[in-house]
Amino acid sequence: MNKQNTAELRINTLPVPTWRHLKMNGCDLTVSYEESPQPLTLASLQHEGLLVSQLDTNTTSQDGSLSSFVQQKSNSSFRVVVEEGRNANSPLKLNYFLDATNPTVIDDLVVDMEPFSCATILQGYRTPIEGKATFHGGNLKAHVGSGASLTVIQLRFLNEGTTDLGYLDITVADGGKLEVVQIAIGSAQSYIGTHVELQGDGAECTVSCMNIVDRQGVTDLNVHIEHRGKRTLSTLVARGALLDEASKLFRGTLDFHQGCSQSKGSEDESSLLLSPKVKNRSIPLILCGEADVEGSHAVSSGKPDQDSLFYLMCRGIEERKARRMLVEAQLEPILGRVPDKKIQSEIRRQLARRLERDEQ
Amino acid sequence: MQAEKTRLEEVDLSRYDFIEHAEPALRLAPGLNEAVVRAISSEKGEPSWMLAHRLKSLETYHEMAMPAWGPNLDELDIGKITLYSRPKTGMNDSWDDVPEGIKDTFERLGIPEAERVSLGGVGAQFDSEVVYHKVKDEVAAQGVVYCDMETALREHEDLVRRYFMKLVPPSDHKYAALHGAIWSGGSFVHVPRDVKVSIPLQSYFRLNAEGAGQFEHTLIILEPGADLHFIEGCSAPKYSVINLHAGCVELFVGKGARLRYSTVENWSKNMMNLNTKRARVEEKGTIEWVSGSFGSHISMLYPSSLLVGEGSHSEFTGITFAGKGQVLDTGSKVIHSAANTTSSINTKSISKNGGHSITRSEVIITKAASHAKSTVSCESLMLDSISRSDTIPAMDIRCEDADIGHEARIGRISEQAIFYLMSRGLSESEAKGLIVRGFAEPIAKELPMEYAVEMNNLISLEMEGSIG
Amino acid sequence: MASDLLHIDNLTVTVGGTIPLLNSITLSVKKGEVHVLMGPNGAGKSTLGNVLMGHPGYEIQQGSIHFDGQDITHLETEKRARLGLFFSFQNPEEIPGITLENFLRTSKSSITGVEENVFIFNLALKKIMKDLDMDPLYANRHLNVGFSGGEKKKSEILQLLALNPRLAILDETDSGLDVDAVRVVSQGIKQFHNPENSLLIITHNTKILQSIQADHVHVLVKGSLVASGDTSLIRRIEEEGYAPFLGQGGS
Repeated sequence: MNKQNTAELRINTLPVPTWRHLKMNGCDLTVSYEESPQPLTLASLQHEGLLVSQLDTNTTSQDGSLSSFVQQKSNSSFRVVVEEGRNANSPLKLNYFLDATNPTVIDDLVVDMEPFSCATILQGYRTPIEGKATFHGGNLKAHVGSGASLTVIQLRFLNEGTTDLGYLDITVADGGKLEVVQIAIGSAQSYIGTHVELQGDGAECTVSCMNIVDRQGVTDLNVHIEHRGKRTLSTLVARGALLDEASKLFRGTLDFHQGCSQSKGSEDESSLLLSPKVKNRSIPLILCGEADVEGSHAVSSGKPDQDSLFYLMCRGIEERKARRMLVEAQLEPILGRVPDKKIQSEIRRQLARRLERDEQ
Repeated sequence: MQAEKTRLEEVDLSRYDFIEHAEPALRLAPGLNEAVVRAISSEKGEPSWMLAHRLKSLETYHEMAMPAWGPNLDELDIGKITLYSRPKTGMNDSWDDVPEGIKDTFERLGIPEAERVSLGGVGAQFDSEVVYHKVKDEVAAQGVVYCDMETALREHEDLVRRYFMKLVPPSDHKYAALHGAIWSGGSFVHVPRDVKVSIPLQSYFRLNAEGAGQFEHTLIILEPGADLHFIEGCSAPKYSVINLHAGCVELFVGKGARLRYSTVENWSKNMMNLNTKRARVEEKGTIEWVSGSFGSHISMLYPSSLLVGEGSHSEFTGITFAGKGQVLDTGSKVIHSAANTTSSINTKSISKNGGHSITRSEVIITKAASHAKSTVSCESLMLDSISRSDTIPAMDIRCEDADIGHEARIGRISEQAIFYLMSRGLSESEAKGLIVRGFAEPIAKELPMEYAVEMNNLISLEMEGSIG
Repeated sequence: MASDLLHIDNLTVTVGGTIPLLNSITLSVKKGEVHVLMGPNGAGKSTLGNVLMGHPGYEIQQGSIHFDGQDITHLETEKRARLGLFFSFQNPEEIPGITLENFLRTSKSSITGVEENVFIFNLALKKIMKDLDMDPLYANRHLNVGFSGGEKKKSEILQLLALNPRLAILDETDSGLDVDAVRVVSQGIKQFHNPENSLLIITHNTKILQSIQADHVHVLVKGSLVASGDTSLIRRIEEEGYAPFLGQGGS
């Protein structure tokens, strides 16, 4: 048995706190993890169009944030630079497998998109269906330069023994575009924070989250999008389905700062509750210090719509199948954002497995 | 268009800003301690259980921390607040018996006039004590009890003891504990089974003294099948020091009963308004909250509904207008803990001239609340960029078989809409005024009529047609 | 009666246990027949359509429904569809995330019990759409999402022809349509109708009936069938409205 380490972290803090009894203001966690060898080699990441190098960070900060923790404890640290005007056609893939031999992945990634560059980064975290306890802590810090375009796709197919922490911190300069797609299907204890700062005029971002949580899985999300530049645009879409005894907390904040005139932000979250023992919590904030903006959010939560179900059944589709069609239909807006057909079908397979088990 | 600036005046509270220089009969020295609590209690000649309740609440107050969220309350120094100030009069049931100055105050606020025209009963509190209470004969004949809390404690002690601070226990939060220790005044209503009160009752709370606090307690009990509309109004003249309002409202809505509780709050802008309102609703009962928040320096106010009976229903309709120097943190809470319960929260807020409005809400659907339905809708209007508007809605759903929807929107007045109205001959300021009134209209129409008219007057417009 | 395709016998339906919406309805439809059910708003016409399909929101207090000799009073909705009942909704559901084509192929496969070949089904669907003068791009749009009223009704008729059931219950399929859509709907109905297939057309106006030869007309008022007869009833309603029938309904 390798050495067990522990750390105390304060993560997913709501930008403006509310009633304490709701327990939505943030998470204080004590995590434990084993020492584990380096999961990826630099050589395996050589990629045409991107400069990938080993990352060295010197920080001794004990602020309890996930990023300082990852910077100090990471066993996989890389820096990616996409040079000015460079268009990296194929995605850079960082795939991690957590299992008995590699129980811990703590990955730190810094991405620098120089002006007018374009790239896609795919981070995959997978475990066997059943397996021993594993730990993932991830930190991705990126800057999207003016006119540059970055797509980040994160996949999490994690079993119930996994503790999974993630933090994305991305700034977007003038005319930059950011797309984040986070797909998590499984029963891990997941805590994922996403912080986007639309700094430059005309910066844009789309953040899409799909969370399918089953068994006793816990998903705790904190998306915070700050509008600082003028004419910035954000779209936050979250789709979830909860099975068994799963629980989810979704914090989504659109934060319009004074001076971000003509900016627009929208948030759209919807969750399907597929078992009587699930717990769904949601707190969608709009913070606003600028008059000339448009912000909106819509949240819905419930069982699959009974009228839609009846309509499908009237066309001869049996109830179980109709239910599944409605679940898949509601995830469609996020699936559609995954560019790779192979990954799309992996997601569908993962999803089908969960729903089929649920139907039995 | 750039050269022209339209200024929408913040709510004009000057109508309420006049001071009655009436010497109080008794004014306790500022500060909170056991002696003050005992003094209030002995002033009132209360039963011993109430004194025990006060002392226990005081202990709780000292034990509890300040809220770790919400507006900054550093300006509030409880040691500087006069917690009890009794006017020079007892309880009266004729305006003729109310001393001149105090009577003038309520005349200027239009209370006796409203009583004659449209109310079934009126209570009026001046600083710490109720000075007038009267219920119309026809309402009294129905068996309705409507009196001040002190009278209720004497004449209906069993009922008061059974319900008082059972819904809002002193341990609820620090200012509920404070209320429990030093409460004074307020109204008591009891509506018997199946009695429908066709005209509203109204209590009006006026805090006249400088650097003082008002801590009235309102207790309303509706027996099964009863029906009541209760209106609460409040105001104070403006002082340069902090005043405190920490009232408490407890509403018990019996099986199949319906209560509408309307509030128009015009506290002066030196007021800390830390009020607590809560309703408990039994099977198929309905609570309707209608709330207009215009005044105060800082408000923290979230009327709450506990839906404990099957098929019970809660509706919250609220509007908040935060102007210069104001932080209005308002909203509502609903806890669904029975099947087929339904609720809606509908809020509008307007921020302007550096005002900060925060719309905070909480919807909890417990496991027992199958087939519950809840919709929350928040709309915010920002009239300039030195103001702030935040929306903080929380939902906690533990029942799959519930249908929950939430939507919020923030924005400014649509230029397209202004253009459209101007193309029909309106000036820009008229157009903006019309749009703001239109924004507030769905809430205004829920307010009692005289208040709705007043709210429209409050939203007054001024155009600055300057160049550059 | 064994020769009836649909036989409703003495059917009484409530909602919430108490409020009766349909009172002792008895009605038979034979193979190849076209029946018209008329009545003022709120008479219970749509309720009957929903109950025939097994909507879970209604309780059957008494009576039975037989389809082709089989008792379907308490049969699951999808099994009724598989037996050959089709209900065209007055307000078809909008379901984002499912394309019309994918939905119809799934539906057809469920009903026939044979997995439909993607390409063959696509060709068949395109042909029907062409016949109905529908833009083939509709097949790729999400089910009824953003469809106009007329497009939704056309989508229902498209489904009718693609699934080819034995009894089509059309609930106000003709209401609120422009002239063009009425033409498409009438055309679709004609195309569907043959000596084997029957129709129960629910409507409160008489326009669509000009292009379809009805065999029987029923008038429903306050949940009760107050008149049944031939097409002369339609003319009577055209001339006198429902006034002569009111006061006859109710329990």
